Amino acid sequence: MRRNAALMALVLVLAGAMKAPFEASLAADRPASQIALSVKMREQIGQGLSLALLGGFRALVADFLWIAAHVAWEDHRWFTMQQDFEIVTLLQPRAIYFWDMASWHLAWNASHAAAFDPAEPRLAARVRNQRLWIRAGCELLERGIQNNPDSAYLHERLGWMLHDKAGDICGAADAALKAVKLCTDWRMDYLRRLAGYWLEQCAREKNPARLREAYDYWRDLWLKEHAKHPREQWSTIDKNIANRIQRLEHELAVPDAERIFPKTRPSASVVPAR
Amino acid sequence: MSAPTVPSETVYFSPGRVWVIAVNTLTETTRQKIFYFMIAFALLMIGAASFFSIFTFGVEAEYITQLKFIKDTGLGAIGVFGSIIAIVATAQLLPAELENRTIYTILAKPVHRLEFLLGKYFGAALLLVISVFLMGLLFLGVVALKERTLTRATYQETIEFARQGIADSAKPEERQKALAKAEQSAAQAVAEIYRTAGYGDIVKALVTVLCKLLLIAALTLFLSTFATSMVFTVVMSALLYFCGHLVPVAQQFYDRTEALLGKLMALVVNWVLPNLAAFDVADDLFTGLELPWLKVLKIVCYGAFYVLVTLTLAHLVFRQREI
Repeated sequence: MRRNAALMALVLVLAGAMKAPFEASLAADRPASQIALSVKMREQIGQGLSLALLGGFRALVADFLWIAAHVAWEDHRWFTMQQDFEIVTLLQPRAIYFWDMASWHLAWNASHAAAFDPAEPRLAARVRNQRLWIRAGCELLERGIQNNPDSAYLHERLGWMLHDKAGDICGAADAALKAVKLCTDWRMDYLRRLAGYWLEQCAREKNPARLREAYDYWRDLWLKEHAKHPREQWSTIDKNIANRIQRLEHELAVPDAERIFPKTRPSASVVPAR
Repeated sequence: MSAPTVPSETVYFSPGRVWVIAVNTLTETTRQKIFYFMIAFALLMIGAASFFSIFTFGVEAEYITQLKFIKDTGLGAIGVFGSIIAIVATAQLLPAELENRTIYTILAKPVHRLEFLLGKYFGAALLLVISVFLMGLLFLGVVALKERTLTRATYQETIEFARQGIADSAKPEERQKALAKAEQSAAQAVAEIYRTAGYGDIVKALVTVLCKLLLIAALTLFLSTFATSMVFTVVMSALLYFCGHLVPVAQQFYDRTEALLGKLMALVVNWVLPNLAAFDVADDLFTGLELPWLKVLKIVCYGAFYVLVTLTLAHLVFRQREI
């Protein structure tokens, strides 16, 4: 009997010692599974769901909560929807789609509903509530970026949210510039231009000190693109960028030698910037 | 003078005998109604997964989310119901033999206890393989059906959109060129949907789920070697199941805590229990992380290692048990 117990203990000790390198290798392969079960998560999802979470049904629970959020959205129960989104994104923090859609619902749909809330007669209160929902959307998306720092898409979405809803043009420009750095797919050309437009808009409307930065950005983009395709005809978009560069060169009084479009050389007709 | 033949009774270990017991165990377990209930529920849930996919917002990535819902629900259902089948079917194997006293007649024959134990385990394992195969087949069918529907709709929408975009005054060559371009983009979209469906990844996920179920069955069999009632085995197995998923948390706790008792407890949990969370790959699939076969093989090896350890422990207990 004692021999048996000793043998069992030996098996357990050996197994425990041997499993460590095994598990380290598995963990290194799959960073997505290394999500800490934070106290906040346990508080929010309750005991029953914690068990499901621990039981490996995290994806399933997240999907069902997403459905619950969908129902809450249809019923215009915005706070319930927000709570469901919080849990869903906590359960599956690497799912870009959840961050994107959840933040969009908060910043666009919930904020719009707050702005036109018939139960709230005070305009100031409606505007305040609208801003609170927009802020909630931005914060959710920022958390999404913290969880997925390599996602160009989420940076771009944050840019749009700051630009269209929060009125933070310079923040939008910064987000788009980060997206450009991270982007590796077909959206690169579009993102480069978007970042340039927003950067210039930020400089013109909010922060004139960034005008030089905007010029340098366009100049760099122009030189890179035209070094790659020197013989290509200018497309409409390229003409737009050329006009912007010309305008900035004029406004910043860039010396002729440093200009892409020197004053002495006849260039394309200057179209007013957007 | 011919060599003396070894009587069959003296053969210490016979795979043939293990196989006979395994097949017999499989027959017994498939006669239980709970097995059919669980399979029916699982199939119902997997089949209904297609309807859950309507709860998606937005248009841009609709197919990604629709397929995600189906995959999550399908894999979740297979995991849940498979685990229930693994625990319930395995937990009653030894108690039923003891209660019906059939174990006395089996062990009175030249059958070693290890053969008996392995036969029981492989019988339960066969049941799990069949269950996962059936559920997996339906799951793949549902995904394929959804993928076909999405593919057809996307293709038709793309072509129709291009047709509407062509001006009536356009020349036939221009019309032809625009349609060819639309067909090209439609084909790209279809290929993207097929890639998102990820049949290969689903098969890999099913393999890891099966590994987990086989490990759960081994753990349950180990518990039943010293348990006196089936209820105790089922409850303890369920607890082990959840504790097994707690292993990564215990690892983190061990690294962070400074309390000696807490550290010791975390160490024991981490040392003794298998990390069942290592088998959950559903999140990886959706987040787009690569899951090559090498990684799956690592998970399979990890599962096989723990099954071996658990069955060794089960044998050590069972060989000493007074029957």
